[in-house]
Amino acid sequence: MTAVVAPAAAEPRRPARRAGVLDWLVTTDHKHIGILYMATTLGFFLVAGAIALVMRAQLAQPGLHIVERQAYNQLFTLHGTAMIFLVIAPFALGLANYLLPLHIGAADLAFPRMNALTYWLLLAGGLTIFSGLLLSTGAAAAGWTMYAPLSDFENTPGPGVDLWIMGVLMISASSIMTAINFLTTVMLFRAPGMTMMRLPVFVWNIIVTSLIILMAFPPLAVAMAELFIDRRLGGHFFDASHGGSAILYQHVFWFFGHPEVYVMILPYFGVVTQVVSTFSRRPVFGYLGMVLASFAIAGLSMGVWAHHMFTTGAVNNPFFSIMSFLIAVPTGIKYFNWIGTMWQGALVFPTAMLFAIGFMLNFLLGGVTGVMVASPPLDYHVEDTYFLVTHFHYTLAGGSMFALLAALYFWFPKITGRLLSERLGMLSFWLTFVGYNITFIPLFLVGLLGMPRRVVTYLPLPGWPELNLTSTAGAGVLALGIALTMWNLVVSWSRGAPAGDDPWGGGTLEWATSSPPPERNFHALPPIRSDRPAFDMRMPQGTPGGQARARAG
Amino acid sequence: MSAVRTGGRMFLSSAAFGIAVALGYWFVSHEAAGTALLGLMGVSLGAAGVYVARHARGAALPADQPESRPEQLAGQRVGAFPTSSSYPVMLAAGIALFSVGLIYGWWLALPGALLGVAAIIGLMRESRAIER
Repeated sequence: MTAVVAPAAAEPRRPARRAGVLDWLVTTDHKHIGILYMATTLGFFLVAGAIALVMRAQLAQPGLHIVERQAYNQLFTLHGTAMIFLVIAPFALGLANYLLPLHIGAADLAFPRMNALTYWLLLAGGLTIFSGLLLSTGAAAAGWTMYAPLSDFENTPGPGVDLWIMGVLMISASSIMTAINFLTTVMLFRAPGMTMMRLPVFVWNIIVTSLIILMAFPPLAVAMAELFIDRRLGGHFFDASHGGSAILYQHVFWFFGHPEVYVMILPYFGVVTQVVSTFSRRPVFGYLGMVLASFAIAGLSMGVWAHHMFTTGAVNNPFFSIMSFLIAVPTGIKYFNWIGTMWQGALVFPTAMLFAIGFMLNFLLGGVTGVMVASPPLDYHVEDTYFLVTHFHYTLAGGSMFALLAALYFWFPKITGRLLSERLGMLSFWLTFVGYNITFIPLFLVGLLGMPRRVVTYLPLPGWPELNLTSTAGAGVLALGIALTMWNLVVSWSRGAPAGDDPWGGGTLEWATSSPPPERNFHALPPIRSDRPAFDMRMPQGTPGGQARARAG
Repeated sequence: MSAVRTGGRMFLSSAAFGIAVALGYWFVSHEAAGTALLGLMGVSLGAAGVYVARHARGAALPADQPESRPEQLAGQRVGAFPTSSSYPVMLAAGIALFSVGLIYGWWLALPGALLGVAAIIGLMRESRAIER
């Protein structure tokens, strides 16, 4: 616990000591905190995934009684809450926690102790939300959006909602502090020569994500505080009978809620960019375009919130529709650049690359259906049906979750020093990809037939039972695929083949240090002359004027 | 161009964007909540931008010079990074107890607040030791 002095050339390597429980409790090392983040979010992922399986079992046929109505309401609330607040977004922040200092050649994040606080707040928030299950009245059951007046004290009296509010407040505080930490670190702690235009695209996307967090999470905290005041302290912010407005809650909530979607996707765009570039053996095509597209997505994301409110009749639909359509343009640029990166590359297809390609295919469906529901007339037709549910699952599960798995296969060797089994990985990919699409394509169809979301059962209308049964069967295959990757993680952690420092031929700085990296990340740094310093170090002859080549794409 | 200046511009241009969209949004919708949210977003980002821009002039980092080499920093102090501290987990526990105490009563909120304050004092004392 002291000041860090930049290393001259090489320091003697210290033998790694196995950390005890107490060490993990008090650690402020960004790598340990990153591992804690990722392990915890994977834990919540398994719980939220298991909840999804119970829901799919309940919906396999009409009229089943695997869970009753109130329990079902708790399940879909917890599934959404956990996946959004405790899995997809914080896994990305945990990954960035681990990678950001390595990517920019820093010893740690700018505020290591605040970093530790963010992790413990996230864990405390998650446990607080789930602790509602121990109550006789149960956990929060008003959906992850917690709309007023459904969530007010009259309609949902138990403390489950209060616990949910407090948990989400803790997670908001944690995210805001993490964003500040990331931005400060990138501005002030880059290694000499690591100019802003040499940052890996992943880091740029973390910068943009941090900006979005700073813009979006304070309104969420405000909405939660107001909801709590309404419930417990006699407030009337959202109570129409006392001059409040329930629509106000939707405005403030979605002012957070839609940008949050980009908090959950932009880091994964970064992951896919790094993975695709590495396994195409080419620098990122259109680097500047990638960066500017991320900023454009972030800016537009702040102006589209009320497309979630088209059917309230209380918002200006044309404004939000046009803004939402526009987001397709920078997203299209990203697709163009990924294809440009792969074009004429020497492509190889390890598991990480397969998951990245799976991401592109699935996210494309999510994006295209997003353009559909950005049109108010179409949205009126499919609002609150399974079509909408499936649209956002294609972006966040078919999209982000696939990129999350790509990140696991890509960086596990750096984190543990061991490779994941490629055989299990390939099998896991195909089961996950096929299972995912068998689960969700029928849900698009049953949504178009009019099946509403958040219902515990349904009538045996033409097509509904068959499509639901197919979806449930697909969910089983998907679960098997995920289970294989989890098994792979457990087995390879202790018994995987040694990875070496750079198993993939990566270009960014983390591949220029040992696996796992030493306490201060680098014994010696290579000169940084492009956005692929590790590649330049390995192949000095391959990069005449490194940066120029990288830029030319 | 220095990254801190880039950062300042990033905040200031985001602030300008927020205020411009707020004005446009008000013009087409006359809706108060969204206009206030967008406007406040612009103002708060503007405040951060002005702060960063004011500190940008003195911040010439080796990281911003394309030809600089890692060895240039050899022997220099680049920052203070503690490797362990027991206060963050303590502060988080305090915050959690206090928050849940707001639901269940002062018997839970008070110990939470005390734990949190103790952790903050601990962090401040620790900071002083690290800076030394």
